[in-house]
Amino acid sequence: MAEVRPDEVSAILRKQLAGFDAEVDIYDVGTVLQVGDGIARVYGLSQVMASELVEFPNDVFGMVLNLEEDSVGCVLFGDTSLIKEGDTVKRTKRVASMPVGEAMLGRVVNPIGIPIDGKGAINTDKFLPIERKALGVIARQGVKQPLQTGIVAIDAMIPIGRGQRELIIGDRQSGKTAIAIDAIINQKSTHTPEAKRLGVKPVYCVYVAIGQKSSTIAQVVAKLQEHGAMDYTTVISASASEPAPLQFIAPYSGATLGEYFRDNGKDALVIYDDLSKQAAAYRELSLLLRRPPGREAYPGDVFYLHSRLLERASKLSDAEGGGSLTALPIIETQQGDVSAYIPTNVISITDGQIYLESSLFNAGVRPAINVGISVSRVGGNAQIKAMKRVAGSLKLDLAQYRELEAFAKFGSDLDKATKRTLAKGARLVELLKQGLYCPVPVEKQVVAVYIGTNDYLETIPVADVKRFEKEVLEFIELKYNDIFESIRVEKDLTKEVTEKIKAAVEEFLPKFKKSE
Amino acid sequence: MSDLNIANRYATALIELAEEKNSFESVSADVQLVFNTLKTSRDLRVVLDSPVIKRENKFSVLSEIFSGKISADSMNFLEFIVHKQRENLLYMIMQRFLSMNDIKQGIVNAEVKSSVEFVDEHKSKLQKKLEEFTGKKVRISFSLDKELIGGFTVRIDDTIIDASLKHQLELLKEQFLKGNTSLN
Repeated sequence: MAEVRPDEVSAILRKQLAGFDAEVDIYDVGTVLQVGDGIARVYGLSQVMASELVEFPNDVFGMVLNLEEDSVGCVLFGDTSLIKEGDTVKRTKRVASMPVGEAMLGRVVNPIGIPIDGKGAINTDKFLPIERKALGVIARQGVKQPLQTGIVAIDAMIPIGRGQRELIIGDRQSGKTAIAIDAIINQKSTHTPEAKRLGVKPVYCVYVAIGQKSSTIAQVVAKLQEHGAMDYTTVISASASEPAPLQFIAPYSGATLGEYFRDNGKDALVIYDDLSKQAAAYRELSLLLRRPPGREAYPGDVFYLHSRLLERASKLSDAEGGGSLTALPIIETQQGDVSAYIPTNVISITDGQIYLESSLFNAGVRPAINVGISVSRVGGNAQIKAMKRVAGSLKLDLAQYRELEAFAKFGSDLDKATKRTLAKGARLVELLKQGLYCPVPVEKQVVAVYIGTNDYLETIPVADVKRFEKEVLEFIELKYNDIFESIRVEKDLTKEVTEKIKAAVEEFLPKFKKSE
Repeated sequence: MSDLNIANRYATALIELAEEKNSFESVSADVQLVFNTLKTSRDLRVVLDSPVIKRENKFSVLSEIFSGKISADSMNFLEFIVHKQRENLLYMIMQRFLSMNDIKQGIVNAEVKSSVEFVDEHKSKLQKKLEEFTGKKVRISFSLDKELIGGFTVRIDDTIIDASLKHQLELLKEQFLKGNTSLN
């Protein structure tokens, strides 16, 4: 057993003491008047600023939110039971900050940066304030690079670019988190040397879990770990049992983490799961602070709550380093009501929505994306040329299919053209179905969509479409891998590659065994 | 309306009245007297707070205690307060009057706590230093607090100037516990 000599200990202590400065300390104080429900009313603190961090006894911190004539309202970032009436509150003269940097990757932290995964302290000396002003117009540039989510339906028809805000909205249990997790897992390929060769920058991810069950968050972390995604991801956990103030600031902490990468010329992705719970936590805080309630009892500035969060996701101009922060906020609707207060607010802030419908989910279409009303306002700018070529007709075909869907019941009484459209549409819908945690690389997506839109599936029964897709892609990978390589490198579908794909598929078609 | 607002209004009214009638010093002295009485006598405060006791009785108590000791104007003011049913705020009104007066005259109150008694020479030195620091006249009240171990603390309104050994030891403890990560 190793022994520590007493003089070693003294030497260490002396070293620690050497940096210690015995100066007169001047600080401002106040007294707790009232405490409860995560809120404390403090008398005094006459010089305190709004959103300043204040220190309560027993290592509890709080943030000043209400500055009133005779008292100050603070929210507590810790256990209310550790504070009692009459306690002294100290000003810290700084705003709430979060540790940032590469050291945060792979960790699970709480919204104020304290690790909760039991892997020890985080060694970083970089701190950024949680609340930061979003950048102005000049510092930004338009979204140009794609953020591949690995989900065919999204990357083809509702493409997301780096620096965009795309809302994922749907009822409970409709697959919102699944899309987000798939997007994170798909970024694994951006961290390989292969990606560097192709000129694809790595994407660092932040997953913010607000108000969710701790078991769900644990499952998400396990899933990310399993797929090797934790190496480039940080998880911020503000579970349902955390006090409302922590749930309220969690998304801002996530944005701060992402901004560190953005400001250093790198790309980052942040997922807020979900903002409806953050709005509810903020409503709880505001009501306890006696701020006047507005529509649906939300305070008057609930729009500002979300807008200042989402404005921080942007693509920076080359002068600023060219980094980007993409945001995927998630909103849960009640019974598909997208015209409720919070959903409409966030829809108007983001650059597009992905609608998930329970009816589609129950009908077996998973991901349950309603392509008709989902939109991405960045669109083609965020797609590689190859995908742009094939995706145009995909959207059109599906739109035509949807229009005629109601007539599908009258199978025999329809004319040939209608029947063809219905058949093609059904096969396309089947093609777009995807399993959980199975992101598809973009080159395979392009080929799959090409096959679907060019009528090669006509002779394949609907039930076999997925199997056909899998087998033909395997076939091409084995025999004609240069097709995929060419799409990867050129990012375009040249005429010769198109011919090669045609030839490959025609070669495979007769070999495919349909299930009886 | 909050109590503080109400007390402020009455105190302001009294100040303005006193200035008008040019009897500021005597009113000031009267207020100080009433304030001290209320401060030391809990019973009097309870009586004024109580909703059970009739107004007339409350006023008769006040007039008996203070008649002959305060001016007629001040007595009228007390009657006025009772008439307006704000006698429960009398203590706060007096308090606000005195603090407004202090602010007007540029005086701040400083509470000094020390572990050992201050020597006179140090007292005047401290006075000068504090007046330099605040830029105003300082009225110091000294008291002892053994818990500080050494040194002293000065409290001016909400600001504390802490030169005590206890605080330095606390900071030292924090420094050791901080280790590598900090919430800074």
